[in-house]
Amino acid sequence: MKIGLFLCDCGTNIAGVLDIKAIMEHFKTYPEIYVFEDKYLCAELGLNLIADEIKENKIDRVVIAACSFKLHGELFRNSIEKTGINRYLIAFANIREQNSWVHANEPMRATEKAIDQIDMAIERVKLLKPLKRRKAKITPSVLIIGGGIAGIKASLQIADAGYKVYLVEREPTIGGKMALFDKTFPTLDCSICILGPIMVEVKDHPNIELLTYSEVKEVSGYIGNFEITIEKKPRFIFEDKCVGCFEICREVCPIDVEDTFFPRKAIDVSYPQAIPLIPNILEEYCIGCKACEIACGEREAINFSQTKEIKRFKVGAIIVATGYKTFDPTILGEYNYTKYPNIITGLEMERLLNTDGPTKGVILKPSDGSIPKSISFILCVGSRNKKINHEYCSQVCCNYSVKQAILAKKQIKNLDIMIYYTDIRAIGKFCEEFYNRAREEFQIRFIKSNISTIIKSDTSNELLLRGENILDDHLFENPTELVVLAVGIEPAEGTEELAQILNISTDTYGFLLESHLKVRPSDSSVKGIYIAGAIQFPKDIPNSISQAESTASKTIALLTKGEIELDPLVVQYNRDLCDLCRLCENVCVFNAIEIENEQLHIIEANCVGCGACAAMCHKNALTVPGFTKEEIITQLKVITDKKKESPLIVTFLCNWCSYIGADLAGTSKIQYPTNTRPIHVMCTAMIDPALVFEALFNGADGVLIAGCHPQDCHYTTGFIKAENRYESIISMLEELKINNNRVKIISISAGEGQKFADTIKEFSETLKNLGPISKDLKNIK
Amino acid sequence: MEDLKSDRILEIKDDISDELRKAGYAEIGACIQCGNCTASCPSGRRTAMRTRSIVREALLGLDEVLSDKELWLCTTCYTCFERCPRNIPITDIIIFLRNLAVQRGHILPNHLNLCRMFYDTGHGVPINDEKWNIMRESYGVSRVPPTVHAHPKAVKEVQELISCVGFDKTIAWGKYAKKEEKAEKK
Amino acid sequence: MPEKKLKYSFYLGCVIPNRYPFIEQSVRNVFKELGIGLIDMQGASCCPAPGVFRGFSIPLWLVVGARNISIAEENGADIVLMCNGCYATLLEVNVMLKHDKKKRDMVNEHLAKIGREFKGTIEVKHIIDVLYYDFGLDKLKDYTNIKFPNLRVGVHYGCHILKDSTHRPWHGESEDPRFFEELIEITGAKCIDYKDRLMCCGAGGAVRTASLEVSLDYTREKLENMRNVGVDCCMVCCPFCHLQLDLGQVQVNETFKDIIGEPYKIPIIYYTQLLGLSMGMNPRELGLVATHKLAGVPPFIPIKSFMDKIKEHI
Repeated sequence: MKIGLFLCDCGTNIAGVLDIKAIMEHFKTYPEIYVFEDKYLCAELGLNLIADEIKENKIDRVVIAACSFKLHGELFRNSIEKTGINRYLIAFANIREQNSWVHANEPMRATEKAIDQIDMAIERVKLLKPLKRRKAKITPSVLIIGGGIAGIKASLQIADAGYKVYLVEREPTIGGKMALFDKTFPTLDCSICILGPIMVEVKDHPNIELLTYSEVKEVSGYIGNFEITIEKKPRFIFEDKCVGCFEICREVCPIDVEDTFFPRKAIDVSYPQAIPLIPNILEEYCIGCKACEIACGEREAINFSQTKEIKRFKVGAIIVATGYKTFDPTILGEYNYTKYPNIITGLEMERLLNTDGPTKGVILKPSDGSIPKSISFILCVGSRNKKINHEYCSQVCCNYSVKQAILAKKQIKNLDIMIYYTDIRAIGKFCEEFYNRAREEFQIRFIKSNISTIIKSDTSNELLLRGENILDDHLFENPTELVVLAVGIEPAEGTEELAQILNISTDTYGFLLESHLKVRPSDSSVKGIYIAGAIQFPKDIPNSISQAESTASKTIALLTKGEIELDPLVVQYNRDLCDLCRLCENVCVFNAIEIENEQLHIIEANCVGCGACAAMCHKNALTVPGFTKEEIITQLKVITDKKKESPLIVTFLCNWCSYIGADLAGTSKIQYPTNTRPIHVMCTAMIDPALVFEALFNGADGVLIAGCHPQDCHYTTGFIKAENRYESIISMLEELKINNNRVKIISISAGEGQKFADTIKEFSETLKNLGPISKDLKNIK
Repeated sequence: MEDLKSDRILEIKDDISDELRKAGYAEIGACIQCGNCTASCPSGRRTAMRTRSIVREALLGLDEVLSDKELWLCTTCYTCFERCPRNIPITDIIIFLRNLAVQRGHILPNHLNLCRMFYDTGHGVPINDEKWNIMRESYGVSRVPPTVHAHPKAVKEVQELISCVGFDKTIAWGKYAKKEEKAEKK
Repeated sequence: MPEKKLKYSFYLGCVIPNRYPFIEQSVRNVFKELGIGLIDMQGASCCPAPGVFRGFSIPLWLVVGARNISIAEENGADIVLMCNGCYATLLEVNVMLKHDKKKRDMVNEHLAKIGREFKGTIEVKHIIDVLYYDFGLDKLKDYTNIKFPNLRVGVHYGCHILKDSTHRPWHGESEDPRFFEELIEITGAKCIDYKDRLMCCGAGGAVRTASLEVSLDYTREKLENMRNVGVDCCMVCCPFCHLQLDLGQVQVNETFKDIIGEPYKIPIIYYTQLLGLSMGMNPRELGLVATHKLAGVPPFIPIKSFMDKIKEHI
């Protein structure tokens, strides 16, 4: 066995902290190890180096010490495969995200940790076995969730390429937020004039199946083969019989659903350009008078007995484009949004400006329906605010406020407009020019001040804005008739639930987490599921469309391949060792283990490779390749034999959430102590309690088990299984008189880098107070 | 050329912001000078006090922030903190700046008197006239409240603690006390 | 199962026992009536005041505050206090020392010299918190049998019962709280909203001692806003606000006589005084009737107009 160890400097990212020379010297003393170093292993020169040295030295196994395998793992696997080595005979030491970036101020200890990490990878690679990739056919269709501008554009592009698209929209019509606007910035072109025809195109496209008023309820499977369950809410209309002459049924409906900004009848369409142009009856408002049924007449399109429908289908890929909701200013009590009707949000202002809106496009004060003489805009409402965990800038509020101010100025003569801002961020092509026009051409006044509160005047019906004009230290209490709160952007309603259904991760604000902010901004944390538009982060229309088109291209590229190669990470069974105790059968929730006639069978197609069964198997008859007990124990031995730190923490990180969370701590450069040694597992459910005790008995002072939040688990119940095992670990610890604070289980999502760092810090403190493990082990004979 | 003297150039120092950081108020660095604090401040509405300026001066290490009397016009109503979009504990920072001011000898005579009263009696507002005892009795509560007023030993405890933390020295207590003694002798 | 009897360490502070003892009287008697036990905190000192002493020396504030808390810890009962300022000090000191080991060690090192220790075993509660949550608003309703629907009340929360909201029990609400109104409205009284109802009285933060005029200007604004909507009294839950709005009102009438027109005459009432009346207690038990002949003692603004309003209902 000849092992090639390739070290990456990553410019100064790694070499600026770790002593690469010392590491090389250390490993050069090992027999059968060939050590190489390159400035950038992932670049062409680096990859050539790997290929050349493998051939030159007849290397047959590889260890890469570089960035996280989540970033370039596939790249390195591909390149060794080209040289003829099986792509699974490689192990990675993550010395960037989980070392140099998080231990920038402790180069000595970090270097020692890196040596341990590489040693672990070397020991592991020795035990790895060559594997064959599985192949699977790709279902040539796509699910697109969300029928806003992003979902619409992606649908059309994919459908045009000849693939079947299921476009699912929660509302009765597609069109999303864009359909609610009158004009768009910075061009002031009519929003529905651009969007309307595209919506019609969606409806007429032979490859698009439009599922409005529908929600995704279940998703299972994997890239290339997802199984989808959709629930369609009842409109109480026969969609095939309705001809869209909605005025007729709406006219006769006696029930007005009163809403200042979204008024409608109990039977109505959302707006005249709705697609499909089919009304729906709101069950909670309808009094069952059947006037609409009579008006509909012989068309007989009304169906009061309609119930929800379930629809199931298969797709090869999914695009999530569910968009945003605007920030609810109620929680910022100082604005008194609910108290005074003339304080409205930016989206409500869009409704007042919209020709199809409640006022037919005339700006009227909600309090009395009169035309305002003055309007004030307050920017950054709910944005850039740490207090409410909205530290981010919502990207669009400056621009949309400038737009609304210009439109208002055009509409009302002698209108007095003030825009109160902290910083103007006119981001986007032609937006700075647009902002300048607002100042020059429309003479809109901009005051640099973050308004602290809105109160009502004692003497008039006006509202008073309290602020400090920070350019001259001047305090003011400015009167105004209408206030527009430029509310920020939040992830769409129900994102958390949808993320759970799809098993994809969210960030700290609840937006969908991209796989890599720079190089994979449109990939979710799960292969074959892509994200487009404002559900990833606040975006304007052009940027949403750009991302939608990029996800469409990715999807087309995937479907065009027709076939996909999958990692062979399914459980392997050794009949000779099995005593048919049947413990595994109960623990598998995927029906991958079947015992019939005293014979155990693995149903490979069902196995997801979580390893929950392997952890239960006391005979080691079941194993997940790459994650066998032997392979984990060999890594533990490296850590505990040398025991370079005290307290020493062994950290198990699950593949789907916590490993990525730990990487995020790295990319965010959040520092934490060096005394942790990470071990990658597919799922926390594959951790046999014996491994935990193996670690402790051999000198680890603490063991941390980090996995998904239970509801986000990639294997449905993996983390819950780990939690159950944790309880038995705790009782065993108590029996052995080992302090039970030495083993900790925690949920860390892919978006919780800070939490990971904090957890290591706190756990270190706890263990420091407990003293070394040897103290506890004295109690055991 | 008189107008072009270098004292027009802002001299930025770090000692005050360093002290703030050391005391655990690193958040102050996140201030974007939006002015919400000033606008929330009821003192700002009637005086020259500008909360935002205090934060700015502290960040830039401008000494006058400690000697300006505006530092003592904050009623610590905490509205600025509640509304600060950066979640900066502005009010606590003002309180900490007052500590620094006192350490550097900036304290008003009235406040010094209060300290003296507190040292002598253990109360910030003590019973200093028999009428208060009579008043207490008339409302059916004990003539002397069960506070330090009823426990001379407790006053000693408070005095001990004041000395322990060095507060007596911080406000030049000894010097102040001696001067008074002298005045009494005369 | 009989409910466990509520019992608290009774922290008086300075202004209540030494200037406004009628508040002490009303609280002691109302709590007796409600069956809430009170244990005096023997030898308790000034909290110390958060505006002045915390502003002068944070270590001083911490150790003396911790000493007061240690007295309650010996009593083995949570603290109930009636003053927003004392609340700001003892609540924050308690939380700070419970969570910050470094500070706790520093404080305990000093406390050891006087044979005391901060253990972190109790909670610090405002009387309004105790009545609203611990005793319970609903249960309190059963006691308030006499209603005063004609009474118009200007509510003054004061600052430190609400803010900083991080550790207060009001779920982060600092812009539009209703709990004090709810407590007042169970007596049938009407709470009248007025401009800047949550504004500071002007006394705190060492401002009353630093600049009386600035502090009185706050008070003037509050009184003006209350007078504009017409109130029969101003309801407080803090003796320092009480002092500022009562004694301060006299001083405002003097200092600003040229700009305020008519002098203000808004009676200032502490919450338990109104609560007791609604519970059918005698005004003499609630510090509403002066039996002494002393001059220059509170209340400085006569409460007769308030009592007349009350008598309409009895």
